[in-house]
Amino acid sequence: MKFDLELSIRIAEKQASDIIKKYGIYQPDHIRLEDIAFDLGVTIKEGSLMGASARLIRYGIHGTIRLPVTESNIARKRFSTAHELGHFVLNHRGYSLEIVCSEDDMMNWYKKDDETEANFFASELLMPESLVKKRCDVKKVSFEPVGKIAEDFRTSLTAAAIRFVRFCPEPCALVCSENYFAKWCYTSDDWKFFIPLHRKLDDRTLAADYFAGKEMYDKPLEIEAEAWIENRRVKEITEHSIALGHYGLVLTLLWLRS
Amino acid sequence: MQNDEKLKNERNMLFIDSLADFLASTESKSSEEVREELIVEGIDPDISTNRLIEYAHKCSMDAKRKQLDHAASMRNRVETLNEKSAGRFTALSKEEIMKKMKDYLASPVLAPSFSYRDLNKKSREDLEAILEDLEAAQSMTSVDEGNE
Repeated sequence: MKFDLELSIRIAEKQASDIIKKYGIYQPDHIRLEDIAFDLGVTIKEGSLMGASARLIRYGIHGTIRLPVTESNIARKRFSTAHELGHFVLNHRGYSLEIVCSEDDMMNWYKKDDETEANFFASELLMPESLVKKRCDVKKVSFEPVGKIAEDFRTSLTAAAIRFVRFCPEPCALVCSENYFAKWCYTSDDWKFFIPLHRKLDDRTLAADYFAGKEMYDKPLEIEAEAWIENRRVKEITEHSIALGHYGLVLTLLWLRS
Repeated sequence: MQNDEKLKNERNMLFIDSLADFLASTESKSSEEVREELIVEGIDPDISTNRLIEYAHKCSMDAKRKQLDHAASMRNRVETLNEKSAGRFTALSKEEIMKKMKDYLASPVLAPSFSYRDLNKKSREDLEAILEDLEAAQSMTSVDEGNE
């Protein structure tokens, strides 16, 4: 990650963290997004919105976030709202009077700087470090604690998994694959291995089974490490893959047992 | 869950009251003597201090969240107003909507760096929705003014 992006992400997270402190939030159900947004000067509306997950319209120090009325997934709605609120709080300027974000913007964590900042802002607002970190201190890395975070904080599995990898004390990585290719990955600070992206998945990976139309093993499994990473000294790696049906993606948690 | 919380709060308040009464009766005593007396009464001063700090912190957090209750009631009012005005631009043509939007965009309140070059390419329905959202944002200004 570029240094300036790293810094701007920290600033975005700090802004979200300040909001958490400002409103005395210490439980997941305290994160009342619509009320927080309103207090910050933003109303949230549902209505017609074509080709976008959400849209922010600014007017001076106020704004309106529009969500498509067709969206029924609470987790996606909450993330879209927090993401747009991020653009508002972080003073991102759109090319027009509006900032329109597609689903793709929210799934690509390293695409454009503003989008990345808004994603990290949203993650901290919806899953504050102060509440999530202790839940990531687990003995075995799998999607089980991730699912619990997603459920309690009403977020998507992807967003929860990124938080999990960020705070988990074990060396682990999250890989998102699409159509047989690793699209992006997010690794913990102590993960020292290179995960090749934009290359066809190795057939030995569980994720490849999904794209090959086979039934994907849905529990963590130790597989040959070189199926995922370029390092001959490491023999085995634990993979837990899960299909995100809506997006046609596979999320994979990789873990090197310490 | 709420009853548990209520009970806990009542117990904490009772504890604070009793402690205040006890401390009031020990004005002439040193801190060490007070500590010893508390221990004799079966109260660990360190645990109690931590419990009080924790309780005070929780009370402070709960008080901060009251701001969100106020926001919620204001939000309900604004949403009701917005609902009432929904569809008010349905009868307007694309050109009429564009004109109204340009009036908004000419406002000195908006940051001048915003451009509206692409608006012509949008459908009438898109423009109507944008205008509605602009109005919703503007109504927030009235809320702020009402609060002052």
